[in-house]
Amino acid sequence: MKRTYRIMCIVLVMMLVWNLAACSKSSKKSDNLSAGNSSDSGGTHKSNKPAEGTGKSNPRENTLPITAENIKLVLYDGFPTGARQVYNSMAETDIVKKMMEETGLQLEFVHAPEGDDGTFFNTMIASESLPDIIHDGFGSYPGGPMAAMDDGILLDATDLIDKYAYYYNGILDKGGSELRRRVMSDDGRYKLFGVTFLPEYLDGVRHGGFLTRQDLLDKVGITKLPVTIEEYEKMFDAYLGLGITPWAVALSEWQFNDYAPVASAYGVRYSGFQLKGGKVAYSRCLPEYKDFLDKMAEWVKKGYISSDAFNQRTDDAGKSFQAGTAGAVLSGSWENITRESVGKVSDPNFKIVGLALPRLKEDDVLTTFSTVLSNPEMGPRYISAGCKHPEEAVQFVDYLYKPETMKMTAWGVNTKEHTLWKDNPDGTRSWTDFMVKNPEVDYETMRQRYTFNPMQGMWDTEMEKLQYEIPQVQQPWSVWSYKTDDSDVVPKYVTRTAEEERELNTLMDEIDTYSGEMVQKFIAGQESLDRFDDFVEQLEELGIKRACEIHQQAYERYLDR
Amino acid sequence: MSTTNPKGAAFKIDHSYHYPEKKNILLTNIRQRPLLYFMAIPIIVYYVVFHYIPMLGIAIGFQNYLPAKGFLNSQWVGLDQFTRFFHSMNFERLVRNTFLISFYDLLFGFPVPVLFALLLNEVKNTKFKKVTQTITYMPHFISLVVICGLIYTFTKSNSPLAQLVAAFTGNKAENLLSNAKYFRTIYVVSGIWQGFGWGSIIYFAALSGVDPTLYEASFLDGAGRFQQTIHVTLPSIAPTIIIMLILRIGSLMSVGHEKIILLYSPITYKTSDVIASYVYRSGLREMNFSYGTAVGLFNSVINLVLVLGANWISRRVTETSLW
Repeated sequence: MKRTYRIMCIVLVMMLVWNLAACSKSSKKSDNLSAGNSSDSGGTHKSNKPAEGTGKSNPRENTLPITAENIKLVLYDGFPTGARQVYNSMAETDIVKKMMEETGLQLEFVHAPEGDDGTFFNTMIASESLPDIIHDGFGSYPGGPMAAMDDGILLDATDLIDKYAYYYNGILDKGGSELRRRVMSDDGRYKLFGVTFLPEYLDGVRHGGFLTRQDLLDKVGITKLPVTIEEYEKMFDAYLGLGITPWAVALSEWQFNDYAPVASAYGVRYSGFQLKGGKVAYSRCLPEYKDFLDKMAEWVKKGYISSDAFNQRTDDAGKSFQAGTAGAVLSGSWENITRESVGKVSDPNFKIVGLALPRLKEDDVLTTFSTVLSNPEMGPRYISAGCKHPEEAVQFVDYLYKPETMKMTAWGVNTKEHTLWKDNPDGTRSWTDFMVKNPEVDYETMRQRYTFNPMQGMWDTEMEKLQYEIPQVQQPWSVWSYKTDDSDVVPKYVTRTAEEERELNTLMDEIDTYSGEMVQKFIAGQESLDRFDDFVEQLEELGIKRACEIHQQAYERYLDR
Repeated sequence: MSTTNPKGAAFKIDHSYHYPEKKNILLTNIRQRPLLYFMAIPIIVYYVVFHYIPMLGIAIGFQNYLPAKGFLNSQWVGLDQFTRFFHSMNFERLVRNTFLISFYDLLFGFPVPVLFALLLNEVKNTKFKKVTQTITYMPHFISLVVICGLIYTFTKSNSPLAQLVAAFTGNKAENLLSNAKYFRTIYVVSGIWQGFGWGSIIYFAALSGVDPTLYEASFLDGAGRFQQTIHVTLPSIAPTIIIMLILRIGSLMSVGHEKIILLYSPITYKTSDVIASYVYRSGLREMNFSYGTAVGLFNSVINLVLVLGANWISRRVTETSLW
């Protein structure tokens, strides 16, 4: 008995020691990788000189498969929630399996965990072994992606892109010099390779805005959809009469900043930098901002916005709307269908309707949005400096722009188990009931599971247009972009150097903390708006003028590009 | 060599006798119980690898560390990161919030497990005692995120708690977490609720070690229950209490960022923004590892000074101390 006891102890200790040994083994592997990196990146790939990527490239058409050898690429990419529920990584999906078949590459994926706020990416960058292809904007890296190339983390793939990226260059050629200006950096390197392009029909379309319920409007007898601030206030008054929170909003979340309700009526953004008279200004220093704060404080006092708004999340606001305890909410067009279907559970009359954003006069044009233009949008892809097969990596990213591939990532792959889409005799394509009318899972989740949105080279016009047929999306789309443009928006393709970025970060730390706090206090009524001028003075003491200068310099460089 | 003297043998000096050398106690112990030390090896290795060796990383607090350049090639800036922190506009507020939250936690949260242990100890029904103990230390196992979700729901403007507060103060019912005045209270009270059951375990253990004859002796001297508690129980568990107090003081400046971040929002920064949450916002997000390290080092130095101080005071005053 004592003997077996001793043996058990020894076995347990062995297991512990073995675990530690396993840890050290994996770190040895990454040591090998980094040792390999430094010898590789010394010579050919790290180039500080700007390459001549000005449209004179003439890449040959890529053939499939990309390689006959057994090459593996590791990709850091997005992992939609719906897919997370059924797969361990995107490598298990039918689409990626088909990609591996067609290209002959082995693909392995690295994904950030659910709900990650960017820390996973930052820790990944700080580690020694990077994936080969990284799908991220590198906004959190000091100096941005160009600095990451200078620091030797990322590969400056300009030469390879000129040589191998046939389809990508095809898109750029069609877009002309303006599109090329957007994808290049100030010094002529490719900055936005591997990005998702938005098709032209989406120009000017806004994907988020106010949502309320048609049945509530009918109940309170409002026949015309509110457009001006006065009309909004009448609607909110009526909702108060019904005993519900008029507007469930999450003031601390990005939607409130991006969709800019109320703020846009006064020509300002809730937070951040914008153009005023052609020059970059901090929105919270502008005199119009005080009027915006006045209005918001008034709405809080009247009870249109509850005190929950300051710390609640967008999800909670959405849930109150769906449960019927709130009358209006901010929503993205992809959420509308879910909102209505969940809302119908508690109230069968639930019917959503989109509202144009509030403005002072009915025909005012709101100028402070980043409207969707046929831009290079979400997420460029970068090749890491340590990638052993950069030519294949570039070819793979370019493969995503091949028309057949773009159709595949948008529509998914029909397999023996499920048919997702069918081609109609008139040449169009439509979803099957399996996707759209699935009894167990809603449409959005189905799309997340069977298509691969993060890897779309360009959104498929036909599939997107299908969404038009759904009234819950069509109607809001038509009103949300009513008289809006982006003339006061600082273009987001403006880049700053590493030193500028560092200085800006040091300043904006304090400025953001102070102004964020003060603005919420103004809105909550805890601070009197007579002190607004003191507030601006304090911001100037914190160095906001220098921050505006830095932004202005970068903006002027962009215009010169 | 004289064989005629019978007593000579007793006085013969044995030159082969040596005084025992000062033995190395540790080595003898290891030789006697090798398995025990063998079991300790993984833990020792764990501490060395994951706690002591990373201490060398403190050096990046004196650099402008860029992960690409690595440790050796990043620029050295001396105390710049520290001065940036000290001169930041919010420095006093951060230190004050960190200190106050910790202090309130200590002031109100420290006695609760002790009192609870003393009270429950008086109960005769062992089944009741055991059930109560189990129920009270269940919250300790609930994840912090779930606790914050609960707090979040209970402080909404339409919750009974918010209505209760509104009835007392005469204002309209408001979301309690968007009022900076309530933040510390919510933070501390929820922390006490979660931790007092688990924290009382060690005091129960100490209480079970009190000599029962002391109680009998005090009873003979005419002490009532309450006097027994003050004059017998408390002095007996005093060493435990003091040790726990010293350890607590050692983490006075380390308010963890997780709970703060889950509960705060810009409108409550005035009372909720602590050093850790501020550095989280500015440090990790913009990938300024040096700044975060410098501030963390500042925190740890203060904690070290506090622990040493508390220990010294305790040794002088009560002759009980950690070392």
